[in-house]
Amino acid sequence: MTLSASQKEAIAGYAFILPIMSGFLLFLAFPVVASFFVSLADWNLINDPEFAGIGNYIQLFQDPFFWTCLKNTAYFSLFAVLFGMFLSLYLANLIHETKPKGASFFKSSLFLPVILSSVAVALVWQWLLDGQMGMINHLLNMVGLPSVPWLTSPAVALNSVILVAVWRQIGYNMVIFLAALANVPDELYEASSLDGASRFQTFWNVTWPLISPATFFIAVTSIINSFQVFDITTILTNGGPANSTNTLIMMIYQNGFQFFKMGYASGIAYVLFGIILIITAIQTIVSKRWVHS
Amino acid sequence: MVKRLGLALLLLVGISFALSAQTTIKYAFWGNPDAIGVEKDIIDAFEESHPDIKVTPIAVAYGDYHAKLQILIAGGQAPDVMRVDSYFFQDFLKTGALKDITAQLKADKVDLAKYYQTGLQDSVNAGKYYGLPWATAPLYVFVNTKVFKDAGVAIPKSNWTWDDFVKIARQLTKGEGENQVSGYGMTALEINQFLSMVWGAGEDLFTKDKSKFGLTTPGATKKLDEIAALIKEKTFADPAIFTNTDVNMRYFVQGKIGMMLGAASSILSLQKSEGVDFTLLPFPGTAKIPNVTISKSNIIALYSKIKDAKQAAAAWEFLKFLRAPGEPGELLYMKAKRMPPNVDDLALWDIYADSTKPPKNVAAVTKEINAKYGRILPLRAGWTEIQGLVMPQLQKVYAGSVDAATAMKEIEPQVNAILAKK
Amino acid sequence: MSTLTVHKPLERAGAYILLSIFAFLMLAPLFWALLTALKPVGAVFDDPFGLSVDTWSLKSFTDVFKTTPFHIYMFNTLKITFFSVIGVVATSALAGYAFARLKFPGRDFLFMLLLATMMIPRQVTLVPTFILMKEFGLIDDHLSLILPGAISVFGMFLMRQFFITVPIDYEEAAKIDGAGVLRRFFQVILPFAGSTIATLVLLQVMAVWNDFLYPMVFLNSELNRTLTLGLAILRGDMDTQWNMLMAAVVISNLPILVAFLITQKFVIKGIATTGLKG
Repeated sequence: MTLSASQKEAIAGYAFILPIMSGFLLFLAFPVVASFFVSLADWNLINDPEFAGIGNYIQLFQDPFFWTCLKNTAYFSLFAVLFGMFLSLYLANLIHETKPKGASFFKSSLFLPVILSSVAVALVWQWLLDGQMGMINHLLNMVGLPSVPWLTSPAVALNSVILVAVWRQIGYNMVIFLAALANVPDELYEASSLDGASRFQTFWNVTWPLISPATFFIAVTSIINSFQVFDITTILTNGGPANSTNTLIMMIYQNGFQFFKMGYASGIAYVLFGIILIITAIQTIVSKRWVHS
Repeated sequence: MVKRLGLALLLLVGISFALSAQTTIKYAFWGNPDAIGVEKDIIDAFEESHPDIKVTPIAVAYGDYHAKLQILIAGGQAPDVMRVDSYFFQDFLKTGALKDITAQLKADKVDLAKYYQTGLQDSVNAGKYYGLPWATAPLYVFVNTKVFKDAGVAIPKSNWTWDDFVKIARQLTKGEGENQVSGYGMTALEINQFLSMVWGAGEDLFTKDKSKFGLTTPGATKKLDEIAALIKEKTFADPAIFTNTDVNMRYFVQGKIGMMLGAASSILSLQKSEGVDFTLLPFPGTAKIPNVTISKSNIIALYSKIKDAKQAAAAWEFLKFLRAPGEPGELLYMKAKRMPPNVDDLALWDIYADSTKPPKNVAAVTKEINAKYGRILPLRAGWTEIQGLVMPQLQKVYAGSVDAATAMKEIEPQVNAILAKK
Repeated sequence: MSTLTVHKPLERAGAYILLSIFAFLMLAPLFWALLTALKPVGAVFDDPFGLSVDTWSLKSFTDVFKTTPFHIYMFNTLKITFFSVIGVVATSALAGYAFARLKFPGRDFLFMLLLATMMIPRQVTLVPTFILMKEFGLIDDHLSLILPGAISVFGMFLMRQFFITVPIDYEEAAKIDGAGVLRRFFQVILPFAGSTIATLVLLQVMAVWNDFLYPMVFLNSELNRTLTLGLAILRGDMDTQWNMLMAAVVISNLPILVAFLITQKFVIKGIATTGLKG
């Protein structure tokens, strides 16, 4: 029996995806399905699970703590993503337009925080933002400004966490924006400037549409990542003060591993998964209208 | 030649026999690198006197410890001997992972009367013992004598009351901004930081049978509002500043707060920083309710489902070595300054704390607390979850953004739901 | 020169100043961590803002190695990272190529299925994966981290996006010469993928090197610990020794930092391509 070319190709295709698919089945598909069943039970991890139906989900939507965490997560994601994208685009544009000497130094230093471990980043910032011993308040006091309760005031803490998260991700986004900017043909700029357009007009009419695929990519990945930020919030504030920095991902960990409620934790995880899925779907639909292809 | 070979063979058999006769047990505990070193030294000492038992340590940072313990038990990797913070004791008890050692204690005549009785209570459930106490520690009021001297306030006696305490705290409070000195400083992170005050008002975290939330009563909310008012007038330092006990201690050392709540380990930390003169007091109650000083102990327990009888026996031997009165463990911990005495013996305090440095009264005040002023927490399953509900609400009360009655009412259904679980 | 580039000296100066400020903001925290690590123990609290060079010492760094077997943690992290990265490159490149170039029934469905799992928070898969590892007898074994670490849907996606951009003509030519799929993949297509693979390597190194949750759950014994677990242990919960902790932070990030400084141009170029449309 001889195989046709397309049959051979199909066999090769399956063989090529075999490693990733077996990993996928074991470490993604199985756990995801399993934890869905866990979310339908009361389970302290140690004893046998007790079937609870959709009890965990009902309880979840009635739990004020869940709404607090959801609100914090939304606030964090929204501002970390917007602020992070704006700053990185601004910096990328600045480098792109001025082409400064030492551009690679600027790129590298802005990128540096990206490669550090988030545990290390959180520890360093905890030390910097300490109310009394922290360098940042010390500098503020030196120029005559009062100390800021960075991590100790419910009104400020979440913003401080956002600051640290943005600090960490700016470089990554900037590098992607830079590549997108480099791909914009110079002729388009020339045409625009001949038309007498201002710099902002040129950016808005020429650059912005052309870099929209990169913008879309960054928006999607940033949002997915920001919903899952764990190390930074855990170490910096551990959810406090007054739950002002507690997020859904931390709520999952707390319920599963501190309160002995694995079923409930899995329920939250599924809701979080659903939220991310919906947001990504909306982004994709909306993007069809503004992402240049 | 043959003879030699035979000898070598015999030796080999002997060695392998000795190896197979060795029982290995796993011992889980928390700590930083120093503390891990202490445990290893104690394990070495144990292995020296029990050559047939080998102890494998499982050390985890405190913050992740109980999650890890839960996972280990769930994964069939349960340690044979494990330390459990009393906050989690009831939770682990509920899973059936902790062994009832009442009969063994009796059979081996472990003299439980030697322990501080308050500490022992934390390992008891329904009259059965599920472990032996590790680090029985009252929460003392630490008094910075310099702050008192500067304000011209005399150091009170052990039988002081809440009213004395408030009066003194106000007298100590002065200054503004950078120079602000507050009478008292406490964190708003754990229930044990405020519960004494509620006890003084004759109220408690739960109702008597621990079936309902207790902080919604008028007596309790009045006390909580009173604390908020004291924070507002700066008699108590803003608890939000104290993101951990390190910061609390730093303020105490710098004389920015005159009094704070602290455990025995804080004594050692303070003795490390030169020139801090301080003394200890029980927490102030009232004439009618003097016993409001929290006494808390952690537990070292055995895993209930050890299959191999020899291994179970080895685990029990190790537990006794670590914790039974008269066994070497207590003294080894004391010498390493890892844990305050659990056995009611004044001499042990001299080994634990540096007796040439303040406070001079630690042994005496501990004895007093155990005799008259001590009380154990109303611990039960779900404690950390309840704490996770109560403390953020209390932080809002302290910040003045809501009154205590409203704040406590808000979480009452959830706390009651946790308490209703069997 | 394009008309886009700004030439006005004042504007250029302004841009330099702004960029320098941002570069400073990015680097200063790291220098502060290093400075704290270099201070003698007492000075951290007595004089937290002092900069006196003459008191600097490496004691905190040696203390880190004295109090914990940090070199072993480093080796463990290196080992786990190394094998995960090799695994991830292999699985991603193979699957990426198949999804980009080979036709087989169910291809697009499987591809979408994989992509959808990118959105699953890792906390969801933690406990079932733990149970799985327990069944495999891999608890407290570095394989429990290496095996899941060798799978990355994002990595596969990255490779696919790149392979799509390689002109099909090269492959067609090889096909006419009678080259099979394997030869086409290894000899024709793969040699183009250098910078994408470099990017994948860097992303995966970062992910594995920095992971805390999975090692915390899967590893038990002291000698199996990774760097992030070592950091957590050093942090403790009382009497935090900031200079030692900062020294540990510096040590644990140093290898990855050095690797980045050596390869920065390459890496930044590679990262840049992740956002480009394939």
